[in-house]
Parts: sequence; C-alpha cells; structure tokens
Amino acid sequence: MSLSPTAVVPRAAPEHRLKPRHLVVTSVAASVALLSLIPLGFIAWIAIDSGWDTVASLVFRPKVGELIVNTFVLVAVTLPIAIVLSVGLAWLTERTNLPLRRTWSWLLVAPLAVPAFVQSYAWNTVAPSLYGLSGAVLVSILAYFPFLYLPVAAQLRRLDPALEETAASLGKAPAAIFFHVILPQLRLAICGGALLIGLHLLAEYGLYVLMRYDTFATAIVDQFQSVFNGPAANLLGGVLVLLCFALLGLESFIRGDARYARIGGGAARSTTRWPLGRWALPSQLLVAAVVLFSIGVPLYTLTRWLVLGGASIWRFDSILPALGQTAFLSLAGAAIAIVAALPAAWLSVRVPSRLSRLIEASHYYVGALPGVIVALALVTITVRVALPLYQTLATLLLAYLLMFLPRAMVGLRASIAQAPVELERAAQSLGKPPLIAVWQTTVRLAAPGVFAAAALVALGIGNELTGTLMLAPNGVRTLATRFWAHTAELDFSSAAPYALLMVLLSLPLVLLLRLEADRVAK
Amino acid sequence: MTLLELKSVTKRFGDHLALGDVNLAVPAKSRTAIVGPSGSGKTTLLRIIAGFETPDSGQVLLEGQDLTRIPAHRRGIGYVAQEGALFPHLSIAENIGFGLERSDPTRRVRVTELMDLVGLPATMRDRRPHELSGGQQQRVALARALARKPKLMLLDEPFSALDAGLREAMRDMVGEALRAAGIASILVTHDRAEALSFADHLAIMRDGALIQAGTPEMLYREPADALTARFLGDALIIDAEMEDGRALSIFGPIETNAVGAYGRATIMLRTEQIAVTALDSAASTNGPTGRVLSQSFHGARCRLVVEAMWRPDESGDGKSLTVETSSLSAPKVGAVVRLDIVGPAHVLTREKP
Repeated sequence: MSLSPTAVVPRAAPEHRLKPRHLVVTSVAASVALLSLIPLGFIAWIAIDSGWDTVASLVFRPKVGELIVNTFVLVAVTLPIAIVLSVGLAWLTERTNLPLRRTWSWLLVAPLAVPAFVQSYAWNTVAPSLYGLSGAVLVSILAYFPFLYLPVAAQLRRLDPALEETAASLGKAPAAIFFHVILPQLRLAICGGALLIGLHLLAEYGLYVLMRYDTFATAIVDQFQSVFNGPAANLLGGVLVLLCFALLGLESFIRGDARYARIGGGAARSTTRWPLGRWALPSQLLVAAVVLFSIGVPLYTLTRWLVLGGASIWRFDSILPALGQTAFLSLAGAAIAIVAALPAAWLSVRVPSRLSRLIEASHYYVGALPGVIVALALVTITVRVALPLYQTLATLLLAYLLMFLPRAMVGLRASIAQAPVELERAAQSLGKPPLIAVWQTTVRLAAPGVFAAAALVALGIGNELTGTLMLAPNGVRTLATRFWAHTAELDFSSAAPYALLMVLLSLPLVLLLRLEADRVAK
Repeated sequence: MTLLELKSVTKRFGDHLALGDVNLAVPAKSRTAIVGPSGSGKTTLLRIIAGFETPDSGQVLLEGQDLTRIPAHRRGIGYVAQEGALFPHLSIAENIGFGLERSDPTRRVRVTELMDLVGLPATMRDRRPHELSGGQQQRVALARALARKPKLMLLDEPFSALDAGLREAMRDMVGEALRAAGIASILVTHDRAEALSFADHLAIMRDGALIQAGTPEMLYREPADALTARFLGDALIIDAEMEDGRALSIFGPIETNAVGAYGRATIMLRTEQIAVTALDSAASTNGPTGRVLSQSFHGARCRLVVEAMWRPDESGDGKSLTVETSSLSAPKVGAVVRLDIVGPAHVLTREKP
C-alpha cells in the first residue's frame, strides 16, 4: 500500500515537498502551462520588438480610438441590459408561480445552441435594416444572455429561504428584501456571468461583421486578411488583450472578496414562490418574447431558407466533408485538450501547492484571450520561427488546445475532486491492487465528468470560426467556415444547411451547461 | 392576559394534513414551548404565526387583532431561525441593525446595547457571520430580532445546531434576555429537557394536532395520553378496574385523581411515586411486592427492574416495572421488595361501566 505521508494529509499540509513521482506530472503540467503562455509572450515580444515609435504610431491613431469607443459603448450598453433581463427572467422562472416555468427555464438556456454568428445571420434576414450599435447590442444579448441566466437561476435556487423570512420578520417589505437580501447574494453569479459575456463581446468576430459594427476582433481579422501578419494587426491585438485584462480586473474589483456561501449546514427548505397575480400575463409575455427572439427567429430563418433553397442547397459533396472534418477536429481537439489538462487538474486536486496553483492559473487565463489573439500568435510564431508548421493541422489543433484548455480544466478538476483519494485507499485496504483500485474508484467516478468536459470542448471547437478562418490549412473546411463563406457571398440559402447542422450539434451543449450550472449550485 | 390566540387553524400541503383545527392561547410575557416529534406540525404552526405560511382556515389573533391576512413584515413578531440565518453579505453590526431605520440616529447606540445584552464583545462589530462560531451566530440572530422590540418572539429550534454544553448556556442567556425585555416567546423544539427548562407553558403536538397545553407540572402529572406521559418522563402505565375512584391493579387498590369513577381504566404512575423497600422475610407484608430482576447503578440513584407479585410466595405474572431508589439502600438482585405507592395515580383513559 502506498501510504506515503504526502498522500495521507494532502489538505492539512498543503505546502509540502514534491515526491519524485509527482515530479513527472508536475513537469508535464508545467510544460502545458508554458505552452499556454505563448499568446501573452507573443504580445509582449511584439510590443518590445516593434519599438516605441512604431507602437505609438500604430496605436495612437483615430482608428484605434474609434475602436476603443465602439468596444466600450458595446460593453457598457449590452451588459446592464443583459444583467437586468437575466435576473428578471431567473426570478420569474425560479421564484414566482409563472405558468410553464419548467419549460421556460429550459428554453431560456436553448439560445446557447445557436452560435452567435448564426443568431446574427438570422436577424440579418428578418430585419435587414437592423445593424450598427442597436443591432449589435440586440443580437449580443440574445446570443449571450444564458451565460448570466444560468448561474443566476442556479444561485436563486440555492438561496436559503430563512434569510428572506427573517428579513420579513424584521419588517422589510418584499421590494426591500429583493434589493437588500436577494440581490447582494446574486453578486457573484452576476459578476461571473457578466465577465463571460464581456469577454465574448471582445472576442466575437462573425456576429459584428454581419451587424456591420467595428470592434477590435473584426478590425484585427480585416487587417490580417488584407496585410497578413503586419505589425498593425499584432498591435491591435495587444490593445485587445489589455482591454480583456481591464475587464478581468474590473470584475475582480466589483466581486471583492466577500463570501456569500450559506452559513452552516443542514438542508435548505424549498423556497416559496410569489404569486404573480395581475402580473402573470405581462410576465408570460416577456418570457415568451425573449424565447421568440432568441430561438424563434433563428429557427424561423433557417426554416425559411431551407424551404426556399429546396433540395438544391443540400450539396452533400461539400456538406459531408465539412461535417467529417468538423467531427475529426472536434474529437481530436477534445482528446488533446483533456490529455493536456489532466496533469494540472490532478495536481491541483491531489497535490495542492503554490506551484500547482500557479500552473492551474496559467491554464485558466488563456480562456480570457480572444481566439483571434491565439491565432495571431501562432501565425506569427510559425511564420518566423517554425515555417514548416505554418498552416498545418498541428498548429490548428494547438490553437484549439489553447482556446479550450480552461473548459477542459474546469471539468476535469471537478470530476477528480468527486473521487476523493480516501476511496482509493479504502479499495486497497479491501485487497485491491493499486492500479485496480484506481480504476474501480477514481476512474470510475471521474469518467462521466471527464466525458462531459471533453464534450464541452468538442462542441466549442465545432462552432469555432475566427481562429479556424485564420489558421486552417488549405482544404480544411469546417461547418463554421463553410457557413461563413456562403454568408459572405450573401448566399444565405446555401449557408442554411450548415447553420442547421451546427445548431443540432450544439443541442447537447445546452444540456451539459445546464447540468453543470445545477451541479455547481449544489 | 392573552397575547396570541390561534383559533381552529388548519393547514394542508397537498393531501397531507399539516395542522388540523389547532387552538392555542399564549399569555403575555409567558414562555411557551411547542414540543413534538418531527413532522408533528410544530414548525408549520410557528411559520403560520410568523406569517411565512397562510392557514387554509382559522385565525391568528395578536392582542385581539386578526393577523391572518397581514404579511409577515407588518406583524411585528420577532423570529430566530434554526441556524440563525445571518445575512452573509453584512457585518455583525449591519446584521443587528438590519431591522432599524437607516436614518435612525440612535442606531449605532442601539446596536452596541444589543450586542452587550446578548454577550457579544464590541470587537465583533465588523466581523462577518462566517467568522463566528455557531453560538455567536445565534447571539447575533437574537440581538437582531430584539432590535425591533417585538411583543412576541418565535424561536425555531434555535439551539439544535449547538453542542450540548453550549446549548444550555445559550438557552439560559436567551431566556434571561427575553425576560429582561418583557417579551413573550414561543420555542419550537423536539427536546424534552429543553422545553421543560425553558418554558412556563407547554404545548404538545402530534400528527398535526395539539394534544395538550398547560404548565409543565400539570402536563407531567396529568398527561392527556400514554404517549405524552412517556414523552415527559418515565411512567408506569397499567390496566386497572375502577371502583369509586380507586383503581384495583397489580398493586392492589390505589387512590386516583378520578373521584367516584367506576369501570375499566388505564392509569399512570410516575416512577418516583413507587417506593421500594427490601423485605426481611417474605411473609411480613400484605401489600404489593416484587422481586428485583436487575439493577443498574447511576450514581446517586439506582434503577431496578422489578417483577410484580401479588403475594411474596407466589410466582410473578411476568409484568415488570422500572423503579428508582437511592443507591444507599438499593436491594440486591433476587431480593423481594415491598412496593409502596405515594400519591394518587392519574387516570389516562376510562371505559364507561
């Protein structure tokens, strides 16, 4: 039996020396962590390599100022509306007697199955006059509000009703209870969801191209496509990264270090629901309108183009290869991401130390970087340092690995944490040899979570557009890039089958994310 | 004077009858404990008084005013939840001052007074709830509820999460704070010792019904049924034949509290009503006797299991009873003892002759 002292008290003494067998895992994890630092290193190197004069001339110009204003306005208008809307919807479905609330709560997560650029394409068709800031804001909210709705609803479900009852017994009216007791406890969920949406607003490319709204992401891709690998695109990328970090800093400042966990144990009683009374109809209409706009419009548009296009748009000679290539890239990318994240995830759960926390953090931070930055970095590095790797499958898969490493990490960490090391020891003390013990306990318990994490990564890769556009080797055409090519030629009908396939393939994503949010809330 | 009155309060959750026609009167400045096993409806009753649940029928009256349709926040009834339910996003001082008006200039002073009253050091003002121990959290919860000077305080098993030693100290502190403030209180608990030491009024609940209410002494001596009798203390419950108020039982004739009654009955004796004396020779008494089957030592007292016998030379009828005696004079196992009944037996049920 391997009852090494480190394994016996991993929590009591977290800052312990690494054992030799941990050394191998640690060095692998550290290598992945170094790999994940590539995009940041690239930005730093660009800034230094270009020299101050180039930086100043390329960054301090009206175009960049305009982009900063655009980005700022987009974030400043979209986030407050998304927050109010999501909190309102979550309140209605979780804490009132709204009819059909179970069905609504699923339908309000369903927009996640519609990629943002498909949502944008749908609105382009339905309301061609809608573009610029108003279009960008509307479509952004419809595409991304579930990122807020999910955690807020989950948090509302787990709130201790005794807090609200106590506040009532202290003479607070329902409205005061909402603002002084409930809302403060949603702060973490709101901050997290808003940050996620904010990062998407900074990173999204397709949506804003179709809405004709210039952001850093669209400008960088434009630059890249016209000049290719010029310092202009790279320096715009640098400003974008700064904006991302500013957003991260703002979120962490607002979130503070307060703790909102339930104090004490015991099962929380199920909450009472507010009767809506005469507000039942307006509430029902609001929820129905959100569902209609976020799901109904894309479904209607797709159906319309599919009907208009008839059989001729189903050109299977290009659809099937795109489907096959997407499936291959998704599965290969997911497998690589899981394998790469495994050492760090294992270390962070089983051998927590300052080093493993550092490694873990570097696995997470890449998630905040837009795909366009990762792609820029890999293009520049392959062109300058390792030309044979330029526009190869390996580089594309590396880009996917970097972009989706955090997703893999989150899922893996949670699943490994589900299988406490004590179970392995119990199995060994019952006479199982170590490997069998690991197989029958940890692997068995962690497997569902690992598959869920892999599925989340695969689904993300399946809908990835920006990085794929910039990095795909000749001949590689995924569903997303095919869709994009047809849309760019304004051949909306031919794009429809690809959009439909992406939506269908994303449906499991809805289920996984919803289950994930419920699990985290427990 | 009656402070709170419940009139035929009934509440259903789906098919389950949580409360069936409950009537209860709580005198001003009294301390009432509602006792019962889990699922007996005691918490539902408390939540209806607080206004967190609405009864299907019946009335809740506070000083004669009908509260039934008044929402919780306008009732002015204090409430301390099971685990305190402190607001995790507020400091201790903010928690205690939560129910006071923000503009109230005396707010700061009040909070200090309240912290002092419940025995919290002033240095804890700016702490967060999760930095406090369970007992300290309950002190904050009490101070917070006291801040609004309610006429009635509801306590929902507030000590159940604390460990045994702390529980008693907290109970005394809460009782003292409420007495000093002149606030009537209702405590919900499933713990007999807690109810008996806290309350001057007891209400026994079972299966959604209020079985009996009264002073602890009254309920202990004259419980409404066998379950209540056993819940409140060790009891000997035996069948008897009544004859002019006296019960004929295995102990022979015993005085009861049912004057002039006849017919079959079930009577109850408290363990301390049975005195045990060791007999020198088996034939020296006419009264009920028994043989000691086993003995267990509990320090000052000794517990005996005694097999009852009509006459010392006869074998017993298999009925055994548990009695207590001083350990100084405890009879040995196998000894024959005389059983003397002190005081009248309580008649639990009686068939009409």
